[in-house]
Amino acid sequence: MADGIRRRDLFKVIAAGGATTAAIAACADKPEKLIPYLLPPENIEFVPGMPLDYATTCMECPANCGMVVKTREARAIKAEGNPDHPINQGALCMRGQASVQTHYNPARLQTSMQRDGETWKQIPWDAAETAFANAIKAVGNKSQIVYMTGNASGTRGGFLDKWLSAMGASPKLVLDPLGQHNIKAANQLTFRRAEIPQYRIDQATLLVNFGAEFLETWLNPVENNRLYTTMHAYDDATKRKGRFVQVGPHVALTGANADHWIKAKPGSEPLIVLALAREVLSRTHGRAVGADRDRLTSYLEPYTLERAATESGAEAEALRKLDDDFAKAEPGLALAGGNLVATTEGTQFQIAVNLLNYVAGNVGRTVLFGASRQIDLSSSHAEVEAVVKRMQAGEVKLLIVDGANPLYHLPASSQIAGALDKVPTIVSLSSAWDETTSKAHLVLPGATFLERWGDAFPQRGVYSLVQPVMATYYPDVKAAEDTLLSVSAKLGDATFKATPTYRDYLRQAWQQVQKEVGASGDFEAFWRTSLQKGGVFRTVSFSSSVRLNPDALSGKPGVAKIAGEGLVLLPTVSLRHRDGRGASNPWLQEICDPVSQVVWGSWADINPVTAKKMGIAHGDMLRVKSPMGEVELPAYLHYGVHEDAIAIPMGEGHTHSGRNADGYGINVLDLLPNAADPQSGEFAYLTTRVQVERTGKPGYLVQLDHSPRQLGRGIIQTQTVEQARAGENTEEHDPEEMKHGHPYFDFYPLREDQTPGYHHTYRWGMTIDTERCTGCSACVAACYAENNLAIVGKTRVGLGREMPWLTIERFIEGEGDSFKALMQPMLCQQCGNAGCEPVCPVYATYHNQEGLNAQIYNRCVGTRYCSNNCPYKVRRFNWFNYEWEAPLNMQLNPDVTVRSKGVMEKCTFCVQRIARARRTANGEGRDLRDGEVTPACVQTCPTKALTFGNLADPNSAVSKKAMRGRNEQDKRVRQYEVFPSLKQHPAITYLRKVTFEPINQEA
Amino acid sequence: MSAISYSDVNADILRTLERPKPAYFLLLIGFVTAFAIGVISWAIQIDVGLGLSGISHPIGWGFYITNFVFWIGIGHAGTLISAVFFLTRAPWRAPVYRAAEAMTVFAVMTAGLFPLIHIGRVWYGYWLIPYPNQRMLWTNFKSPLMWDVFAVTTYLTISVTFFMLGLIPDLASMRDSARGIRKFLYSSLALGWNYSYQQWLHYARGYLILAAFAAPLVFSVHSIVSWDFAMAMIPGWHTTIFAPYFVAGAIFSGLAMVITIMVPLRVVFDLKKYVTDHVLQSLARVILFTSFIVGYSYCTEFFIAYYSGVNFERAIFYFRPFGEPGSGLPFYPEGQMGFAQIAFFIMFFCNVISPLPLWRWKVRNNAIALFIISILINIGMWFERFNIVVSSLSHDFNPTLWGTYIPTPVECGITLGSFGFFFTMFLLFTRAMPTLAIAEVKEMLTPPYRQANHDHVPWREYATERSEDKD
Amino acid sequence: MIRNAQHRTWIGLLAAAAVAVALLALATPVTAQKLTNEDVAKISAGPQPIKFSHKVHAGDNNIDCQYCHIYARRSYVSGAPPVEICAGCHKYVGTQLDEVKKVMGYWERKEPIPWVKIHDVPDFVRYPHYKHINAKNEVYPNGIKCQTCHGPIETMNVVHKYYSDFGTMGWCLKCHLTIPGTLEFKRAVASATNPHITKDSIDPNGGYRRPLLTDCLTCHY
Repeated sequence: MADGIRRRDLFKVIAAGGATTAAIAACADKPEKLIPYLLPPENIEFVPGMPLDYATTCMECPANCGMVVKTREARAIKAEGNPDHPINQGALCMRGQASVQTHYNPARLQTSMQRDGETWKQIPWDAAETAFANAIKAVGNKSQIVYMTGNASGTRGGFLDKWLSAMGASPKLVLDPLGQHNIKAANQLTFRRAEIPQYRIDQATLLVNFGAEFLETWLNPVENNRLYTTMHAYDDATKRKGRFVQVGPHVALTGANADHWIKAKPGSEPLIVLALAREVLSRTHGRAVGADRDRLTSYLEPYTLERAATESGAEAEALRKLDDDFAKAEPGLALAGGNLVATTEGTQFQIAVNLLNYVAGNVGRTVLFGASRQIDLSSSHAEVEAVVKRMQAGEVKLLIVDGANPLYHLPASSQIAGALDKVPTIVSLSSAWDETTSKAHLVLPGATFLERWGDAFPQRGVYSLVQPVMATYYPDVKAAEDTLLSVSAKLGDATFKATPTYRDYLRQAWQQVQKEVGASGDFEAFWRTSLQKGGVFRTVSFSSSVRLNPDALSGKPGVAKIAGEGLVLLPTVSLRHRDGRGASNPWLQEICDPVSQVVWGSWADINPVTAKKMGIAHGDMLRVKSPMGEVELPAYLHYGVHEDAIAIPMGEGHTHSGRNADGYGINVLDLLPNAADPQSGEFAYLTTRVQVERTGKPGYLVQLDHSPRQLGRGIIQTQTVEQARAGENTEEHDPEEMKHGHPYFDFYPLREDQTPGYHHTYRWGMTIDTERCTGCSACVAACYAENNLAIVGKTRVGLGREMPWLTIERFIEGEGDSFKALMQPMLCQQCGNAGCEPVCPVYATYHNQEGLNAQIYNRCVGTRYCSNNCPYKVRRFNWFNYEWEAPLNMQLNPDVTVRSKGVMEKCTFCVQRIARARRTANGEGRDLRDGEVTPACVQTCPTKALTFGNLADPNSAVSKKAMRGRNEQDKRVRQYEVFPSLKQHPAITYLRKVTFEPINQEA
Repeated sequence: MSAISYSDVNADILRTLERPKPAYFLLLIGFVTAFAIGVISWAIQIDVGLGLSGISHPIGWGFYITNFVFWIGIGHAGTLISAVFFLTRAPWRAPVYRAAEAMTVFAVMTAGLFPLIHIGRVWYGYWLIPYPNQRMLWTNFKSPLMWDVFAVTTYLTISVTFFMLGLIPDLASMRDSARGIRKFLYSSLALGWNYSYQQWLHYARGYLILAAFAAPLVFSVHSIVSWDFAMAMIPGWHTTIFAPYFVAGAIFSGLAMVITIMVPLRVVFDLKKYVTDHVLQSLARVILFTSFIVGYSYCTEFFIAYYSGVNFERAIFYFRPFGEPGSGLPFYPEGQMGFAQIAFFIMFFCNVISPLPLWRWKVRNNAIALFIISILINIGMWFERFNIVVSSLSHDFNPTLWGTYIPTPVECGITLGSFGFFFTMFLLFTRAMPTLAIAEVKEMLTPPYRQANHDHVPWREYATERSEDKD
Repeated sequence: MIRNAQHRTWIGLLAAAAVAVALLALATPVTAQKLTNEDVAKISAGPQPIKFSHKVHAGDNNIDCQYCHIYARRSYVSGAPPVEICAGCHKYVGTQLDEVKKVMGYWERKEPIPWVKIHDVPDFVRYPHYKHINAKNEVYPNGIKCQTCHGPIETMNVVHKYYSDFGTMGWCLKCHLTIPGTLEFKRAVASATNPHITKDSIDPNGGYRRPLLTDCLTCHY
């Protein structure tokens, strides 16, 4: 071997001499420092290099899903759903996935500060608390202290009330622009139950939805997604499939999933609802309503289908068919909510929907009361407005904001800006910069929910705990609750003597919880197990016997009156930013909106017909003017919006929320008048018309899709229910294939991947059920979080330099109102006969014995030949060295190499997870069990559309779904591979979407 | 024109090596600047990353591979003329083959740079060379890029050898008249040539054998380059006609470049005596012929795309001339024209239409016209490669991930630099070596002792137009 | 005469080339030797903050490696000893020695000791210490010792790379390829288009119990 060494060294030297740049590479080999711990961490489970999970609760939105946060070396790196949690059952939405970025937000407040004129002066924490205490002392009339928070979940609400009353301050305000007060008020009026009912979507066979974006943000989207697919997705075993009809002026993600969209004038839904109720009542002869029958009949008399059709502009035929189905449905369910029905008569509308559900006999079957859901604890807009008025009158001397951002979340027309200026002292306990905090005088940075204690009771029987998964990232940061406690201590207040920290307070509260759930044993044990499980979860049956309240029939709802000239403004809720929180998460900005495929910024959905009339082209810059203000944003031609309307998503257009949010898009609330529903006090979104005109400038609209048509290439395939039930395998998109009659017909000898034994015990594979995929994009966010994917920003995405390994592809079929937007995840297909492998000159990519299409980053020289030769175009190239703005780099997953410039990268089914699991399994001397490894995308999918496993094992779940065995080919019904004619032998099998009407995919 | 004596030849040709006109230096400065721009652009690109070029997802190859194929193509004329026409005994090759060979060598050197320029981590470029290493890793011989490595290096070696071999006698005669360092260099390169009969004998044999070696390369190298594309499955790449199609294109562009170079050359060094119109028009004939092969290939591609019935193929060949496919969607207009369509029409006009005038005898014998046409052909052939590389990639299988190409200053700089490098090298060559093969030109002449009262002068017969040239 | 002149220059050139090649050939092994030299290793790494002697600890007093490197059997990293562990003994042992005073100084100042890394693998390599230390197979019937890779550390006053090519891929593979089954498996795979191959015929001694020791993805991802 001696000469061997010499020979190798010879080449080393020659290489170093030959390529000057080799010297650059050599620089990497400087000796590093080896910094030991001072003390070995006392937690015995803590082992550097090994992950440690903590169960907690997601606080990104009021839905409060259970969460398990993976930490490495004591820093949170990945959030996943808590499988034990009854509501989300292990899944998370994309915002939940991105919560770690909220935690490592570059715009986080890092130290306590005091305003010094226009600038900020950093002051020690204790001084800050004293200043806070003095500010409270200074206020003579204590009721002039106002507390605004963004979160009052679980014990926190009670705690705040207690604290405020101890201070003598006026009651707390909980800000959430997406409240559910209409529903509560309506239920109070209709059934005397002021609560959000439990919607058993999964029980329904027909779902009619009026505006509620329940697959995006409405109530608990994760739960809704699950229940919805249970109801709607075609079940191969029972061959059943529910129907979902969307009624309204706009189609976003939820509408895009509908089997049928009935286009209706904005605000005209009440007529349709009541007309349906009327028909259903007459058809069912009031079976469900008993004594209320006559009263209802007379009340519903004026609401005929014809009237509804004429006034709403919906096709009478469609309506007739709909109510026919609804009467037959066993049971049906009518959902209503969201901004597009939040008119000044929103409550009346909700009452109408209640009546519809009532006459159809859905109440008690698909609409259950008694769940006491705490999904919306926000104060109504009326209450908030009252406080704003007090501010303007100078009757508020001290304003404390804590996670609330009134300056952004209240419409400009509410004069909030002026009101804030009138407040002498504003104290911010928020955790990151936002518009309101930038106006504050004193800042005591709060902790994110990954750093603090807390809990949430999303619904009866579910007690969910929040525990810190790591120490506060910045030393000078403290949970708002603890700040309040120490301040009250400073003020010599005795209320909280027993509980000096919020943790103590929480434990005290949970002793009560222990009683409620009737858990025996000592509290410590109960507390510990609750922390381990993430809470206490009991299944409870809901008492749901409600009777109709005659007073509900007083109102005379009609088409909502919408003031002004021009197009009706539809302020839709953004799937990615909800109401605007989390707009500073780069992931949520760069992951495209699945329906529009737009990234980084706002756009205005406008109907092509209207656009043609106004001479507007796709991407033109528009000036949208309302009496309250005007904004400029690019036009997006979209069939899914009423000709008489223009839809703009909320959540963008920040000014002080950090560089990832500021300056992108516009805030649609600037256009809205300050109106509310008198009955519920809910903010009215659908109240104004806007003037729309071209500015002549080109708008800067960046989309991920190039061609919206799949040109009959069978990437997303569909088949009708009849075909599915008859068991036809429709290969219509691949004539060449059908010539041979067999998807795997091949002139050539067996491919490696088909050879028994080639795959070393495992052949990793996946099935993607497009029928179950709603396009919620949680998988994309999960992929970003797990695999250290780079964020490249708007310009580079515009140049086609985006880096996602997994994208939601969207194709549009059909035209006009009957258009269909098909969506499905596209990721590396791990082909058995991949085009990328033979062309790599250095074996940086190859097919390993577990069927993975390996990509070895440190071997790649970057010829990009593999990407060229990949028919699915799922490989991504590092065009630059991408940087993670501190402290976002703290989130990076140490198990995955951070790729440097000039290297190709792609999905490998989260090979780092496979490797870890296999090392454990090998240690125990066994094979990996089915389901022991789940890639990030599969793990987080709320609808279980993705299945991952070992294709070499015929009994694994994935094999059963994929039907890949040669003899099983005949049994295939919905299974298909993308581009089978290319003979790539992908490891991913798609399952066709099943539709009621055939979708013609013209070539 | 009167008969030329051996001494005339020596005088005329060696004169080109004397102190040149200032115009020469102006040109040289211009090209060196261009070269410098290229080097700087590359340096910046290495530092910042390939993102500085217009290459993006899904278009993984852009200007750089286009240039690579273009220069390799240029590099084909030399060996064709010196080897193939030598074997086929084409008498008119003598005056041009030296320059053509030099051109070949420099073109291949230029081309060889581009694979390095286009890879993401050029500092690991040496991993493409199969050598035993401590990692126990080997290169992938299945990859057409590996074949390239061998094809190009082989071609470079052979053409350099052939070039130097052809130079030996001339170097010797220059050695005799040179002084100082030049003398040392020339004499070392002349490998101790002493005009002896034996040397001439072996020399002639050796030259013949090497020519026989080199001739197949003319066809193999560009076939292999074409397989970079044909072996991939991208619609528009994955076709069997690529090898002949590329070889024809290569010869086409190469000969055009020879004309582009020879026309000014013979003016600057006034060598009209040797590089006669007849020589140029013979080249023009070959160009005309190859242009037809190229044109034919274009049509075949379209026919096969239609005839195969594969919708991917049909889509790309619809896209090249007519733009985006129809979708009936107002926000995705049909027939949107872009970079690809422009490239396509430039390509078609320059390569198929513009050579047509060469049918005319007058045009073939008009140096200016030839020069213009040759320039057009060079442009056209560059765009042919651009069209093949980029437009195919921009519209492949997955419509949602299609893309468009936007060139950037950096890659334009590097492309400019490649031309700078090529012409700089060539200018330096014209100063250092005889641009015409003295020995072979002399072979054309009547030996001196035969000139007395001898009316049959082969040179004159060769030099004056023969009647069948007129059409 | 001209002729000889030509020959002379020509021969001269050849000689020059030969000398150049010879020099290169000679130079390389020398530099290579230099690279492997322990002193150079030390110099390049720079001096350690404390003159810690593994010989004294692991050698003379034969303290078990894992008494200080506590994570080796549980994790990917072996774990640099927490300062507390040093202090644990040196509160009582060798308190008069200067170097020990230095250590205790760090301990009292509550500072970690900034050791200089000697054994380092690139960031794109996943090296699970625990899989190696717990490994049992035909070649290492009673597990792999720390010394197998790190060399006789217990004899070193100043730690240096015992194997000059420590952490290079070829060096790792030298061992991985000796594990029975690995090569057989690779060969079998090479001819895997033969449909008669089954898992057992590939790897009689239970393939799955053994990771794919020559698969790039085993260490690089």
